Amino acid sequence: MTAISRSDGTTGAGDHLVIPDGGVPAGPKRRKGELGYRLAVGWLVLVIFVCFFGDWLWFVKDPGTLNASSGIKSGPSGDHWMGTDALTRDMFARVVSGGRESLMIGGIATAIGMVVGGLLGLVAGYFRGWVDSLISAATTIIFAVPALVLVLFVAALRANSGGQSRTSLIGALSILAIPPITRIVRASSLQWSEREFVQAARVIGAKNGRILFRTVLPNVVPALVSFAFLALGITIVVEAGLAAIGGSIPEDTWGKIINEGRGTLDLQNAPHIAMAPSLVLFLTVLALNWVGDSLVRKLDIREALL
Amino acid sequence: MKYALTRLAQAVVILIVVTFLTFWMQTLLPGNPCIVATGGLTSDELVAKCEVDLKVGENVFVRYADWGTNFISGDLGESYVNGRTVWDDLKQRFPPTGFLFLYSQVVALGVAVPGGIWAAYMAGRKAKRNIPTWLPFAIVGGIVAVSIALGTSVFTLILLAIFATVVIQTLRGGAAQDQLVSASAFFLLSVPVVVLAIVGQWLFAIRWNLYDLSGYTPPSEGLFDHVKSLWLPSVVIGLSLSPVYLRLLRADMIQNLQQDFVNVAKAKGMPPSTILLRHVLRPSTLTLLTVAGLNVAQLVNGAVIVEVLYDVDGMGSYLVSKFLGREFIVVQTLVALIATIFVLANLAVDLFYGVVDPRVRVERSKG
Amino acid sequence: MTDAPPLTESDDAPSDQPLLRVEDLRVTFDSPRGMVRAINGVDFTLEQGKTLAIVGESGSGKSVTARTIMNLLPSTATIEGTIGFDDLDLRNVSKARAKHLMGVDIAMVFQDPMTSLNPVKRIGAQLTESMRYHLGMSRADATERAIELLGKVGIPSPAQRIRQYPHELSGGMRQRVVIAIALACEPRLLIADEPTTALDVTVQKHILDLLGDLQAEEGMSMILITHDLGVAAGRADEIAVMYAGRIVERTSATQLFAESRHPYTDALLRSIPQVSQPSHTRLTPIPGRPPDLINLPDACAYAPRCRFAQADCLESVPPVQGVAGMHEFACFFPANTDRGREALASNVAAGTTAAGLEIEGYVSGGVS
Repeated sequence: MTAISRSDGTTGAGDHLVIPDGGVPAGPKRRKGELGYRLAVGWLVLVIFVCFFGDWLWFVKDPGTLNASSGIKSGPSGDHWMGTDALTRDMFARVVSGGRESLMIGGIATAIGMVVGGLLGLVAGYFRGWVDSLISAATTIIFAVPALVLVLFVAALRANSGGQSRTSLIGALSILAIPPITRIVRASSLQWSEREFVQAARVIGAKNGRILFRTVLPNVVPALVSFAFLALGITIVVEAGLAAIGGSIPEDTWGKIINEGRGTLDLQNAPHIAMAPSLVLFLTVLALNWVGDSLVRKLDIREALL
Repeated sequence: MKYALTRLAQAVVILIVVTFLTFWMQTLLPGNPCIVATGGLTSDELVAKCEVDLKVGENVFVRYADWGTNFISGDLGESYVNGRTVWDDLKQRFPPTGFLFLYSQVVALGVAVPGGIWAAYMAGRKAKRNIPTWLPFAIVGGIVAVSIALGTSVFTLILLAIFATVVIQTLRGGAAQDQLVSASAFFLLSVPVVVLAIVGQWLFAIRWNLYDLSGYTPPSEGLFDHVKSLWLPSVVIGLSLSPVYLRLLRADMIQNLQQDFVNVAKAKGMPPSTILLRHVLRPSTLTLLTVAGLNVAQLVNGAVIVEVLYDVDGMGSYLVSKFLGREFIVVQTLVALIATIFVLANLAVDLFYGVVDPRVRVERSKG
Repeated sequence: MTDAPPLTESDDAPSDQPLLRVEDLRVTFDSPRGMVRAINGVDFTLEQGKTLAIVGESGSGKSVTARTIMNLLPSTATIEGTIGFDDLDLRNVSKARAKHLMGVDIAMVFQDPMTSLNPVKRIGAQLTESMRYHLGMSRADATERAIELLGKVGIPSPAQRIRQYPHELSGGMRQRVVIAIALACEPRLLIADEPTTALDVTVQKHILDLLGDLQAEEGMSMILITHDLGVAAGRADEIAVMYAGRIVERTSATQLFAESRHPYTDALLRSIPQVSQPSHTRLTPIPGRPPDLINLPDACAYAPRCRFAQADCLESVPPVQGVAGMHEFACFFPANTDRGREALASNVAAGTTAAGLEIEGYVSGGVS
């Protein structure tokens, strides 16, 4: 073996403990990362709580009520934290209800992606052979179409003449979420299926289904869950993109509010209409990526120690 | 060579399956596709022509074979709403998107390559100056407090705080600079293209009046006007692509910097710039290439959004207009076209590997 | 105690000042677990044209010593002490001088030829690079010299090899290329860091012979780093044995094999097979493990594994003693001396050393 040492401090001392210039610093960065991780989790909890319980929260107004006295497209104020829109509705309330829609659509699509992609990946990694080839080929084919185009196409086909429906949108987004989740889970499943205890279970004649769900699945779950955060971020962003170009559902989502406020005049005179949902969308995606990234990193450490 | 052929065959199979699936899904739409696809907005003659063209009533395989033959021979069908052929439209629509792709890749690599190299070089180095962790927080906090007292806008405040952070991290030197670059890349990665485009539009087109949302100007009408008409969309797409390149390049270069051959180069007394650019960057370009291939998807996503938002009459906005106009037959053809470009781009990248990395070449000629 | 016979080796040094002078070198690394004390006070000198072998287990600090001289340590390392080379202080060289120092005056051969060549650059480019940079040679001149060098290190049809990539060569051939690269600018000091460890046994001898021949030809000084006393034997003028970041014994090769003083050297010698021994002689392994460099005790680092260990050994670090520049060792109870024999005898009688190591009957002394 070469004398390349690792920067994680696992090497024995001495000759080979040459921490190369490229080593990733440990210590203070880890502490900072921990703070960011907590902030990210805190933001996600806050956003989810406010969005889903907004109707019962005193500080969230009704998104449909007109506030004629507040004026059209008035900027942020103590009364209207994110200002008002063209119909004098409260922007904060709209961002909250739009967030509920965005999170729900993204969440359900990701959940479907996790269940379907998880099962496919699990099976592909465990059985290998033609099952694996088939599933891998299918993911490759879906990967051949860029995400937004794929969603646009599937949603277009599923749309009725009355416009885009929530179900068809969720369906399209979950088709998007399945392949990457399948790949991640397949890799993890492949790795775990090679392990001694799984081999041992095979040798003593345990049924495949039992091994898969009792032995392999629990070990694959960490990878699945940490990637789910990233996948949720992706689906929310794709939905926002679709909405911004006018291809999403008629209900308010973050993307749709952005689309509403993106006209030159509005950006000039009332930038808060586009900027408020943009900021919340960005922070939410940032938090999702942060949590997902931290989990992946934590997971890797645990796997390396095993 | 054998490898190239295998990969080519693979790509062809993928393309056939993808195009067939999109075609098949399109035929699943209830009712006469010619009427559904045009929303009944068109004349009876066009519907009749459409039915003949699409061989409506035949089974799906016959129709796919017909469509596929036309597709390969360059006949991409026509819009039965206005009678224009898709090919004619695309000829007009292609240049803006082509230039947009080119410029955004230039921007993305222009940001990511120096950033990635710098971050990798600085990672794990000792700090030049020992600035305690609380100090930057105190300074940024101070700026915030002073700004609030002076009543400056939130926007100026954010800019000031970012500026202060950059200065402090740069003063710290060493790994702090890597942290700065990596953190910026992570933030940028989390900005949805929509948000980036909207903020870009707000800042540059409206607040600072540095960009006209007047659409695309071809280079024939003056290079300056041409660049002026595309710079903001290119920067937006480029910035959204760059963190992907940057993070991968950084990780890869850090790994390469730990290789023995870097020590050998140092022991040879080669200067750091030679080591970084000649010895470390070249093996890393392999990774960069792979990502460049995969990034075509991200590029397409970005182009679709940015073209619509910035009124660029390119292929992305063409696709969206056909989608919103419910011309599913055209949409399907466009999706097939995009998938083809995407798969071919990845194929090209894959085959180009061998040129960059001789090890791959040998492995492939063996296998 | 200092009953070493006088030596002749160091008497006929050609110049008044040795080429390389390392004084009280200390290197520590900052690691997440704490300070790693990789080198704890290393002193040695190396005359022009001589070979010094540094021998030790992995973790003894021999490679770190080499990398410190080459200035290859990461910035997380803290270095103390002085390294003199010719009339230079290597730790404080002017920028202008440093530019053409490493690779020109001092060169290094690394352990693993499989990884020490850049996989995506041709052999020729890697060979000519330093000549063109340091000596300002033209591409054609450098290529010509590269071919000549490849021939010198025993590579057949060198003109063709120039155009090949590393993966097209065998391990032994690659190490020859690495040696050629090191020799490109005719260095005065060559550091070979375990140059044969990664190679097949059959190739090892060729490479070592090649290094020896080249050294004689070019009149270079050489530091040969190895974990194998057998490699050092017959090829080094002087041998330094390192343990836990210190040189525990340093003397001429002949003296070391004839009359080792440090119990660690003694144990090392017993753990390698010798032709002179009758077949089926049992080799004696060294018990225990190398110490943790983060929590080095204020005592002899070898004491826990030492059959000679007494209470003194656990109380302070033994200073260097013996004849300066001829036979130096850091031990309170040196092997092959009366004091050592007494210490061992008392340990054998007690069945255990002062550090608690259980021992059985074991006779001290050189190779009898």
